[in-house]
Amino acid sequence: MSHRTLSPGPTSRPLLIALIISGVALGGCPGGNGNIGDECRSNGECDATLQCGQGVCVPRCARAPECGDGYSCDSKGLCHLATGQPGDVCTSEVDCAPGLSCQLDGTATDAARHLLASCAAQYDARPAGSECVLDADCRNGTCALGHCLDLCDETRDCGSGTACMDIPRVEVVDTTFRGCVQAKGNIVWSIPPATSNVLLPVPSGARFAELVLSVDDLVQKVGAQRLISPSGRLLYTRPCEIQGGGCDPDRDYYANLVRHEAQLGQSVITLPSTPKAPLETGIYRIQVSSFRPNGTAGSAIPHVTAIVRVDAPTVLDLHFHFLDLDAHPCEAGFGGARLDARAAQAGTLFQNDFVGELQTIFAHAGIALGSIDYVDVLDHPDLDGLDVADAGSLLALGESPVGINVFFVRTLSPVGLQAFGPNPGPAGIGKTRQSGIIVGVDTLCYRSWTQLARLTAHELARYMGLHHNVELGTYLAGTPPAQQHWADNIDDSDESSNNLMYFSEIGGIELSPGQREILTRSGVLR
Amino acid sequence: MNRFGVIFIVALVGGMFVVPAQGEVPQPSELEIQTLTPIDSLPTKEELVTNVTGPDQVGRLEELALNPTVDFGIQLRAIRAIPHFCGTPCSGSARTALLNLLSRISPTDHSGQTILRLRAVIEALGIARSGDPADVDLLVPYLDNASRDIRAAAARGLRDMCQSTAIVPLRARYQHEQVDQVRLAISAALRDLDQCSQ
Repeated sequence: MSHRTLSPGPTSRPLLIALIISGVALGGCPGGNGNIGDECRSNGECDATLQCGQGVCVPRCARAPECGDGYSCDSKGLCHLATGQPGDVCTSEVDCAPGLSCQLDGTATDAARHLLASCAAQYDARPAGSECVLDADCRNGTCALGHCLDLCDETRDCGSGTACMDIPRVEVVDTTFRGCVQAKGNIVWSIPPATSNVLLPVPSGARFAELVLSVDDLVQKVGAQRLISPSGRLLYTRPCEIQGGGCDPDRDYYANLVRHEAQLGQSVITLPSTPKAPLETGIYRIQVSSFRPNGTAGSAIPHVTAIVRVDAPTVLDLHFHFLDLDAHPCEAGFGGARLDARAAQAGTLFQNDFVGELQTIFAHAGIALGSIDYVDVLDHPDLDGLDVADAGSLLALGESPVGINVFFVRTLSPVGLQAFGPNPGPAGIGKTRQSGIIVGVDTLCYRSWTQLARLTAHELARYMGLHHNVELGTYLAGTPPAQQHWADNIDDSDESSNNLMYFSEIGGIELSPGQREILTRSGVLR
Repeated sequence: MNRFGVIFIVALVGGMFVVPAQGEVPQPSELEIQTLTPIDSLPTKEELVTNVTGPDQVGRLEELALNPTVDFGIQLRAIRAIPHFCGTPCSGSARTALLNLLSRISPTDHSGQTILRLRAVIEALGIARSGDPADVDLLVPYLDNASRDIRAAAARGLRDMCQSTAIVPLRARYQHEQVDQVRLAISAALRDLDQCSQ
């Protein structure tokens, strides 16, 4: 092991840390009476919660970076200077002396297909956490999940806010290494459109992964052709196009374990889509393509954004946007006043019957509503009365990457549509043509705020990855047996109309454990 | 109890449906309720043909749309579903039903539900695209309606009819329209109608 006990050597860390840590001394068991700032010659002279560094008692470490570059932090909270020299084998950034970093040795692996690494000079490049495309973009020589990261053995080696996990190496087939991964929030990065075969690396501990596919030409569709899990399981095959001759697009769609549909301009793939296909650690292989509206291959080049989430958040932020609802025919349903951002914040009906009901519904899933903000959107009169064909123009105004944007429009056409949104929607990305859901306020001419809350929650849940527990098509008289189960892919969600995901507005708010599982993994949560 | 029974009871308890008195038009069947209440989609023609009581689906949809004891959401979707049964161009019973529905709306009733019903009929007439100039004449007066939502719907309906005779009245309305939402709807309609006339 390439550690020694004491080193006042220079570091690249802030001066204060360097001064405190560079004199860490080991000697005897800690347990002295020294307080912070008291002189010491060994750890034993400091209080049990402190260590001796630079001749004074200082707090013990929780993470190696607190000790400075080239130091590790042991399980007792004591800093140790690393001695790994160029070429020395390492497994963690903390193994290498100051000025060096632990870098992967190309394709060399051990018997378990873990990539080998050794100490090497740092690059004059970006620090850990920065966005990157290539290893050379990073000071410590490793770029993965679109970000520079440090190699590690355990989370203690990693900086605050990151955790040590197994990461599949996209560049070397069927290999992994351990690296420090952002522990909270969405990790978002772009995958260069070099090939139609996209590799999505999912680290150990990940709970949610997503691909957002888009094309610049909005008259072309974009979507996946095939999706294969790290274990080789076929999760999705693009449905055939035209009914007949053995082709049944609906049958194909419902047979897939991952629900996905190529769509004009943008589409989303969310993992997991069902408890039957849990998220796997490793590399998902996705063949992506653009398509003409008639289903033939398109000419547009897909842009691919990947999102991975490792923590387990339970808070849903909502961003309410109000188009111009002045002189609305259903104003009586607003309490007789104009509904806008200010009125909604102060309005009893909105707060109690709408927001309150949303809170109740999501509480069933163990999700709490978090921050709710209210914004007026008065400079887009073309979208006040929305034709659903223009939904993309409105949803692109949804700036918030965290939570879900909800747009209240005067009217929604075709008449009869009460809400609209992507299924699933992009988590962690704002300003796309699918960044939110739309609610038609004209529904309040014949429904209550409580009923509007239920159908809003239904649409929010679709954005988060749930599908209808049963589709209207199931009830067609004479429906062939194969189509009688056009339903979600969640075994414990029955076809009950009491379910939140029942396709009809005459439905309930119940959720099955499997549905709750998918909801609570959504990348929209905070 | 099966799921349809549950739905119906939920609907009754929620006050959404009223049990008809004897001799009145039959209330929607369970399949009709399901077909005419989806939140985020509209029924396809196949779903309507299969689930709406036949053999005269247009007549049944019109019946549902006009029955005040039927849930209003179902009435609306029934109106909007009628153009599925149009020919090309729209004629016959579907067009007749839409014209009848329009004629039954009181011009002096400005309640929210009436405006919504009127919007549904205007939208349906537009996409029905009968090709009959009389339909344009029917919609043009709504460009001067007191409700901005009806004026915008009329502009869209005229756009969808794709008849160049709508251009002059749309231009006339544009000259003195004050609401940006409607002005933009008229502009879009004029732009598209220009394509229709080429």
